[in-house]
Amino acid sequence: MARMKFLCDAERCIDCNACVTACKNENEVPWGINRRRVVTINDGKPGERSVSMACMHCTDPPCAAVCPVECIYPTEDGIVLHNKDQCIGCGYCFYACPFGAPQYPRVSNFGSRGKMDKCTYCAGGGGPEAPSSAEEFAKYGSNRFGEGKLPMCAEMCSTKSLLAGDGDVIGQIYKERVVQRGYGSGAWGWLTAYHEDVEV
Amino acid sequence: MRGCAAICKAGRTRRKASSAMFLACLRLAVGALILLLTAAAIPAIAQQLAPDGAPNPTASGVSQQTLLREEPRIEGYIDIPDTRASVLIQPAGRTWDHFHEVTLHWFGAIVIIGMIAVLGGAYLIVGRLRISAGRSGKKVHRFNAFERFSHWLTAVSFVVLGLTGLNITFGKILLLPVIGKDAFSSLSQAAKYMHNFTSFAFGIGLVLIVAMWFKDNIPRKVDIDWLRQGGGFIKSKHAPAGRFNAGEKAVFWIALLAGVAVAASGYLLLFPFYVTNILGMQVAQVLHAVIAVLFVAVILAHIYIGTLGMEGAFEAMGTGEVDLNWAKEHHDLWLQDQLAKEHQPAASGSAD
Amino acid sequence: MNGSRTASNRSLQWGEKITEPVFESKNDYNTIYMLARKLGFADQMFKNIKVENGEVSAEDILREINRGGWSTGYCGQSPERLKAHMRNQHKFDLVTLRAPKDDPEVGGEYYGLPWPCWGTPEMRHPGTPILYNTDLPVSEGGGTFRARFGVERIVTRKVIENGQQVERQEHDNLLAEGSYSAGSDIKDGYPEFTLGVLKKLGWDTDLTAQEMEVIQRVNPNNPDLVSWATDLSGGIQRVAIAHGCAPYGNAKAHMIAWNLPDPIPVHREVIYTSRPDLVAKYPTLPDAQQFRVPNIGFTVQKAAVDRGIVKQFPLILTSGRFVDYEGGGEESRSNKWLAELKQQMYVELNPADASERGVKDGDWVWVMGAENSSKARMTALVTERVGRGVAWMPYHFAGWFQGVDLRGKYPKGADPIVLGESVNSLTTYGFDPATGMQEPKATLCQIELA
Repeated sequence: MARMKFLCDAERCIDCNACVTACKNENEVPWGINRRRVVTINDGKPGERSVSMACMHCTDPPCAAVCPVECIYPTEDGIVLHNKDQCIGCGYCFYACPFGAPQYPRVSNFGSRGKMDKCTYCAGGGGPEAPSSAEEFAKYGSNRFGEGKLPMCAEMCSTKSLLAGDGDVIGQIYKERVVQRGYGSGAWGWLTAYHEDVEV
Repeated sequence: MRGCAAICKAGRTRRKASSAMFLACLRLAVGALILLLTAAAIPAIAQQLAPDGAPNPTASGVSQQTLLREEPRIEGYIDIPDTRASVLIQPAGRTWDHFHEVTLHWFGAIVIIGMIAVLGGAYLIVGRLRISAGRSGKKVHRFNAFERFSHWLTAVSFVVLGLTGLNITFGKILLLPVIGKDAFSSLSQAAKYMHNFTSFAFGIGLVLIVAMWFKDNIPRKVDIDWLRQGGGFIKSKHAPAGRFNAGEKAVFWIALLAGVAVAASGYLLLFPFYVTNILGMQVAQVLHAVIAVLFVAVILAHIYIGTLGMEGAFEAMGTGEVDLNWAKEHHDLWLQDQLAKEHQPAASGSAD
Repeated sequence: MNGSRTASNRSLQWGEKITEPVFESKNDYNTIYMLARKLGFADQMFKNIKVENGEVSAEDILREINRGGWSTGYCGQSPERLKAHMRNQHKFDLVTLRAPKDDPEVGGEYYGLPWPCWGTPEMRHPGTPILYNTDLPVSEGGGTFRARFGVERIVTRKVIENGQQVERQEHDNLLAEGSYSAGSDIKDGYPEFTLGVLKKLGWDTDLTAQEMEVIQRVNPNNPDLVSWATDLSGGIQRVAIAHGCAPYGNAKAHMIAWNLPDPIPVHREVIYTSRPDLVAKYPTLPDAQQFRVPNIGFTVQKAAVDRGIVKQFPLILTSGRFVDYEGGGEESRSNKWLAELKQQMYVELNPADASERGVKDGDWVWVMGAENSSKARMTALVTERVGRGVAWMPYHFAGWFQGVDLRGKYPKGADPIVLGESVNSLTTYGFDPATGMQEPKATLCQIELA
């Protein structure tokens, strides 16, 4: 079974935000919810690197472990989905997530933070809605994965720095790139997310 | 170098040419030194250049490992105003998750079940503490309506907060399998609302209790005697006490300190990232959970002693009137003051 | 649709159709054919291009280009040769772009036969990967600098002779001196090849009868004038190359752009310069009339220096582009996805300059421009992206003016989501001497806490 992952090649990322815009547009993500974001390390200094980050769809996801109502779960493909109907908006998944992926509609926790929203790998949602239905789209966004397509962010990446797909395949692509060009700062977040790294 | 020595040797025999020869040797030696130093620097220079001779673009690049060695989180610059988003990777999340799912579960289970076991054991072994002299039938006033109201406000709030709070950690293990996911999540949703709103009631109640009973809970010498005498648990001894004995004072102070701690950490959790960063939020949650669990255990003991554990104790908070013999046995010093007050109303009135 | 595509390295590739046009659209060739038919000259236009069931042959189009594209060297890249390149892509070296000489189909050719690819396709010129390379014979992809500006430059000058002012003509030889291709029979500069030039060299006898016939047909009255660019047979090109010469001549490279204000680029300080001490040596161009309006850059520059304007406005102000925004920003800032990414106008300031002014990252600041007491209010981004003494602003914002939010002035519903100050309310006088374009990239400013 293919195990889906993300890999951002920091040497290629130009902080163009195409991935962010693609995700927003494809999933009609409301203002204030940042499913994907680009963070720039050492901004303005030599060795500046930008990394595009969203939910990494971790192995053994800490968000799923800590959820009080167990509404988050990994699928067979490794994609981590959640059921917004069951979410109580406690905000614990954000504390557990090493990547800051969970997003909430409300800023204060008075009552609730609202239903948690996060990158779905463009695979729809973890609720009872029918795949690719209008109800699923309204709640979770697009279901490209159900149509055999990869997430929009990686498809739109202008430099092909953001890779999505089978972890073995994208790991191999990245490795070949590093060998070919002679440098690479590694697969950011892989060790924390997947308990394994790409040997470069 | 050998050639240089030979030249120098030859140079010595000819004085005129010797200085020139010496300079030649010097130049050779300096040149060799420069070559040596340059050779040492070649690896560093090589790192600045890629294999094909072009400048190496990653010469000043950073890796995750070096960044994480310097700081526990990798943070950077972000366009959007949400400052939380500037944290790229915080591996501490997994650590916190482990604390919450493993450590806290064990800790909570051991502490609470342990306390229930201890209390159960106390009931089975020691049994209900009877009034030694038996009921006198006469009553003395202990707590007024407002005091009782404040106590019950705090107490009921605490029970609600405790149950709804424990649901966050233990609900999915104990309750979810019984009622199913959808029902459990609706219940937890309601529980969360209750927890949030009841926290204010608890806070108000705590303030009232502290305001009312602060004076009477200040530790005094008599508390040491009370402890030495076994605190009323040893029937042969008499433990003196004021309005509140050392045990009750302990509950008061624990309630105050723990109450403030859970309230403060709780409000941080209620308004996340208003004041703290991700680490602060994780710490707040840890403190809130650990202190709350301990608090629950202490209050379980308090509930036990106030209900099952001791005859005549509950009516203090129930009706506000206690049996005279009970008061004599457990709060003798307070009883003296209380009786004096009740028998001298005219005296205090005519003192103006 | 099928057809050749030319890349910016001058290589051509043959592309195959991968999908049908959507709905009832037609591809470009068929559309042109239908238009030509409608206008009544399709038969003439497509007389050499096969059209079958409304489908225009892409190969025939390229062949027609080959038959006429002599002056740019678009003549040797036939569809057959290009398709052979696509079939044998893996044979071409990634760095030299050359296939091994012994390959039967594409031996010795450069990938995509970069133009100029001289002569007829039958001649099999390998293409020219690097222009003007005299280390290689022309037949191997080398070349000289073209003699398209004549063999001589005659300049009339006034000189003093015997106490009298007279006009003398100076003749400058424009042909190459001491530079020629490897394997060239002429070891000197030479003009563009015509039949006349071939005759002078005695090389006209190398032309075949068919080639001569075509040359005669091109210019029956004066065939000597038929050149390498107009000879439809390709014979003049073939003969020149056979003798190791480039068909377009061998001249000196042209460095003087005589029709620009500075024929050779020289340094000129910007109008509002942070280095007034350099203006005496590197002044801007003198005041002049430009496209019906005066360009008084010199006067403005001198005034700025005389007034010592840099003391009041010590920071260089430049403007630039966001990766994710476009132009004036009205569309970008109206798009909710993009507007969220850049919610504020800001000025990038170096940490040293910021601390001098007591400015912290995110503080509101006033930026003052050097003319007309212009000012703008925005937040400061304290960063090392800019060096000391330089401030950078994005030019994608509008809707604020001199610190006042003008959202109310927009027609209802037309205001973009994000508004901000325009950097060009701070930029100053300056117009390019050739095009008249404004100077928005180099001026002076001062920044202070708001």
